[in-house]
Amino acid sequence: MGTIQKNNIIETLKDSQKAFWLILFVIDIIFIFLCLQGILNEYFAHVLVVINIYLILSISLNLVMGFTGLLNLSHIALFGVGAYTSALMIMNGYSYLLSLLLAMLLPGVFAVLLMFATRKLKSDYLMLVTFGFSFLLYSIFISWTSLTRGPLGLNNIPKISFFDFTIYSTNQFLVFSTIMAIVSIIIIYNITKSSFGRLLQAVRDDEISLKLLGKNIELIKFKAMFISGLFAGLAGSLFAHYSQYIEPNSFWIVDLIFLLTVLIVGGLASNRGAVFGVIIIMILNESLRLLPIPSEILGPTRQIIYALILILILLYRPKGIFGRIDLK
Amino acid sequence: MTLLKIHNLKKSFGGVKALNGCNFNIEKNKITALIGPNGCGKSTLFNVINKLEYQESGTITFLNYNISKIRPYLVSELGISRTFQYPTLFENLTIRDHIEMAMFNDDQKFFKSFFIKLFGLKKNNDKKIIEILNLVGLEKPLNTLGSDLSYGQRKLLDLAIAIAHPHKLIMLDEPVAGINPKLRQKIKEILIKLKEMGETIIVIEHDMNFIMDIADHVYVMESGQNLVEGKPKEIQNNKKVLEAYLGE
Ligand SMILES: Nc1ncnc2c1ncn2[C@@H]1O[C@H](COP(=O)(O)OP(=O)(O)O)[C@@H](O)[C@H]1O
Ligand SMILES: [Mg+2]
Repeated sequence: MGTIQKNNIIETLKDSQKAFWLILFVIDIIFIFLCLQGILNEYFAHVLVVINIYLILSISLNLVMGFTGLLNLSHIALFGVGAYTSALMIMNGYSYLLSLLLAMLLPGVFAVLLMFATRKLKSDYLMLVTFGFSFLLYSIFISWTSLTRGPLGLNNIPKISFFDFTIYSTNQFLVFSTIMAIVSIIIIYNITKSSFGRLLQAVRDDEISLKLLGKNIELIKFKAMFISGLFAGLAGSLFAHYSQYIEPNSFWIVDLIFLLTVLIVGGLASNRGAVFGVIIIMILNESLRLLPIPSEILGPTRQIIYALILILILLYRPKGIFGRIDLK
Repeated sequence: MTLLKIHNLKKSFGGVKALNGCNFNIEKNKITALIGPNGCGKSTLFNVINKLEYQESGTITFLNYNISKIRPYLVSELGISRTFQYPTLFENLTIRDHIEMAMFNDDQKFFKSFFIKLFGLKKNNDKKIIEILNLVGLEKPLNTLGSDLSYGQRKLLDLAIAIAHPHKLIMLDEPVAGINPKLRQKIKEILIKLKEMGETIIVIEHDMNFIMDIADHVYVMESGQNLVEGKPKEIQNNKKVLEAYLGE
């Protein structure tokens, strides 16, 4: 069967995969349009930027965790590496593009090293080692004060500018981050649908049979971790230049739990799930602001709600909304 | 011509000497059968050849390469295909996926695979896939998931995968264990056909009757060692073999 050209909207909508992406894209464009027109205020633009950053994080974590079945808990730490690298490079006078490049490569290399360190061990060890790595990085962000300014964090991080073009306003950043998120989603979507992506799923299902088909499992895992790390770094760089201020607590376990909640709710091993999860949880997150909850207990309230959602999902829908594999 | 040579192979698990100095020569274009009572080390021998386990001593030579210490995927790349006693499939992948993964190895190349997907350049391999499925008699749509196959169908797909993978030697671990008499007969015919096509096959089988009609040469193992070897007819009436089987 060759690829059949679909030129009919109804036919396209029948194919739920395509319909999902199409509808999402249209809604996204409408929101951006409303923001740019000033009909929606800056707060909406801000939420959309944060969604874009989390989309990149969740879809790239899903590549290793959902598709390849690697229990990688270092994603937020790698996000932090990207953020600090990008911020420090720019603050030391390097160009944005060079900073971005290094901010992506460094987390990619770290991710491969984490995989390398546990390559001979059972898969559970990857979880332990990557979790430990999260703590290690957090304490480095805190204690290497000459570089990171410790708990004070880095402020006045410059805005993004390249080719004589600077991204000043939240709305401009919204457009830029949307493009980055869409490109990331397209890349990762195509990876998962490629024959390499099929191999990733096979690694998750049964390594032994795969070895006997002549596949170099270790190398496949390294590649998956590297790609995932690149995107964690991209998200980190976007975050650093958007908020212009980063501190160690931006890359702490709380964010990791948020990200895991997103994936579990959306469903592992599904790109739609990884995207939908971010949107649902972010909407929930922001709606909580509307409730009359004092700001001091907003954080803990959110965490209780995430915990409840996780329990409900585990009880009633262990594959998440779009997921294809059981949580185990 | 000897394709695979196994010399004085030893492997133990704790106190259990699963392989205790066994020797085999596998001849090209022949069906060699490996029989012996349960737990005598047949599957362990396969695992050591594939490098899912590493031997404590002894050597394995395939096509004049010493494959005693290499990694599993390299053994496979050199041209050894294998099936399992209990086949495990990739539950979320289709029959087409399974066969394609076995046939081609460039799915490991990230950029090639990515751009083929991105620009829709994927070749259609269905004709070749269906040919192999017909050979083993698995009549199922190509997009059937691994998880939707029965035990017998899994055995057949596992066999199809071994055939699809570029190989010079096929190792079959109990291809008819737990299979009904009708399918058993069919698998027998498939193996004979494969041999006519020039394949070299090692088949482990617990059931002596099954291999009598198909094997050119039979090795009988007991407690990780060679007991006797010879043509099926010679084995059939050998006193030692009868003892080993009856004493089980
Ligand atoms: N992974 C393993 N760990 C411990 N013991 C094993 C393992 N694999 C096989 N054995 C033991 O080695 C012996 C040979 O097993 P096996 O090769 O599976 O026998 P066969 O295939 O001839 O029935 C048995 O006693 C079995 O219990
Ligand atoms: Mg066995």
